[in-house]
Amino acid sequence: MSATLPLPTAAVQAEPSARERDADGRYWDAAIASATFSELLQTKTRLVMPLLLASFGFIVVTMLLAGYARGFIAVKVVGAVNVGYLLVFAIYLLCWAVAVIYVRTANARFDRQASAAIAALQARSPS
Amino acid sequence: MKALTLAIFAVILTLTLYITYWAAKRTRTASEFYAAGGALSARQNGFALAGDWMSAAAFLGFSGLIALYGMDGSLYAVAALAAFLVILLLIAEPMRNTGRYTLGDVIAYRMQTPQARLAAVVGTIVVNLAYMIPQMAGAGALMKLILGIPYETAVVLVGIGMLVYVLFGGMIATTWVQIIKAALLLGAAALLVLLLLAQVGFNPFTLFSSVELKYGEKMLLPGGYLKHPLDPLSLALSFMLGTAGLPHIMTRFFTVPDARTARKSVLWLMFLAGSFFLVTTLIGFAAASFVGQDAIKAADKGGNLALPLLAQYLGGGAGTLGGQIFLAAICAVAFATILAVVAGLTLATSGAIAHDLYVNVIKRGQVSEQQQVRIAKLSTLAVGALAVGFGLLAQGFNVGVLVILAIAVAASANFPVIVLSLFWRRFNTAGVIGGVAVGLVSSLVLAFIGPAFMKGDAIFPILNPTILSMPLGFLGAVLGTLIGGRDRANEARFSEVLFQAQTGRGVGR
Repeated sequence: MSATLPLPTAAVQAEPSARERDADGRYWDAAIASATFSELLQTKTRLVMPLLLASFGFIVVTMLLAGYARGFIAVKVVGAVNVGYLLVFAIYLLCWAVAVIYVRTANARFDRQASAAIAALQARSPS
Repeated sequence: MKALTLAIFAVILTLTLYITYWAAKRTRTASEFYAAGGALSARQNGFALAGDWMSAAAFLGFSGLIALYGMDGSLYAVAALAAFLVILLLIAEPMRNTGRYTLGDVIAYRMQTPQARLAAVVGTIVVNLAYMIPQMAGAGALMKLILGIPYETAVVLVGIGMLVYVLFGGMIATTWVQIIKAALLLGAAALLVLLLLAQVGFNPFTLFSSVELKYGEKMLLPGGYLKHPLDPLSLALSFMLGTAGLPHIMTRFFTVPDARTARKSVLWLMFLAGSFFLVTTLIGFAAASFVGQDAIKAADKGGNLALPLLAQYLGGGAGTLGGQIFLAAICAVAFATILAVVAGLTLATSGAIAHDLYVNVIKRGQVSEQQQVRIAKLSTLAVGALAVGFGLLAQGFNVGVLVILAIAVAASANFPVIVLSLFWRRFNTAGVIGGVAVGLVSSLVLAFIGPAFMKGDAIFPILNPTILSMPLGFLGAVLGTLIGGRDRANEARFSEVLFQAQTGRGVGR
């Protein structure tokens, strides 16, 4: 991660000769094989996959319990509130927590890494 | 009393029309018409997304389901929040980075063939119409109840109102109407929760026990509405994957300048709409214990008026000034909700017809800017007429099946194609066609032979077909790809699509 890059200004212009390069697959193969881009992709995968699997797992298990283990769902926790409502409430907290973790990490890293990848691409092919 | 109700309606509608007038002066280019010029902030788009997502089905439907069936309604509500996890983590940013106005743009960017764009158009139109009809029918039923005007008149009024928003103000007006509506709706919900909690000494647990005491423990357990053991899972999958295939939600990501704003707007949505979905359990239970299930069912068999009736009760009861004001205000917000959601759906549909079908498939992009806007408005008119026509036919029809249909088709026909376009190198045009065709047919057929449509004689036992039709959609996409054969040029293109989708090179001027 090169630290000196400016924050993304999103003002990157499409290269004029982009159309000619579209036909040439190797140009883009090299672009996605570049160090900056694979770093970006790796950061994304490492963040997204665990979050996605954990939240999907929790929600799928809760929904299966709601279908197949109604006895367990019915166990009272506080007053009339049962395990089922506790799980539903936990899904709300989970969704919010995942969203906050993702957005914070993405804001801190993705945009900077994406501009680095774009800058590297343009540096290799001054147009 | 009726004059008061009409006055409150008039105030809210005038406000939205004023916004439209203001927006109309700012809508000249196709980009402004379809995507508000791509210049919204995260908070603006977050509120607009929340407005889109808290449609009448969510706002009236969830609280009604909770009031009548208990926990199953709460499962619907939480699934509607979980829906945005997949969008946030996988879809929103690549969507912003690869598309301009429509879902078809994203698919066509990957495949570069008119056939692939056409398949996306079919998916968009079917999903949007299936989503639009229940909204129109809901508006008709609501207006009939509140203002006593006939169903047909109400549907035509919704059609005209929505066309005014879209034709004059385009996406800018539609967005601002959604923002105002979301704020009104959240404000009303906050007031409602405050008043209902005051009734139970600010102890929400009292509501759970009072519902249990009055209607038995089954209200606090699943199975009242979602009968089959696989129903909860299929429902959750449907929301979590189907929402990422709803074109009018996806279009919202084209209204922001970059990926960073797209992801921040989803965060806004998840807290705004999520808090509302969380309190629907309290609203539904309060309606069941204060208003009573019999009164709710008497007003509407499906329970859709539980929330307005609770507002009337908390305002002081039927016949009192406070009760009438609160009821009228809630109904006016509901009406504005329906208008705004239908307007968003119409825009997304007209985008598919004008931008994808006419400009890009028929004219191959050889259309001037003014012509584009003119064609967009013409197709908006056509879509509006179609929506009113279907809305009139839908009277007394089970609208529940249509909502299920819309989201199941989105999960089965649109979602596999979007995901594979963005993440699978070998995916090709034949795969797009296979995915859309198989997903569409399987979700339609399974919904129509399922319990929502055939009641007791259902051949397919699960309410929501997604659990089977979504894997079938993926299968169709994969088989189509394999049958289509290797396409080296297309596979080489994937590298560019991947780079573009993940970096957003050149997006946002």
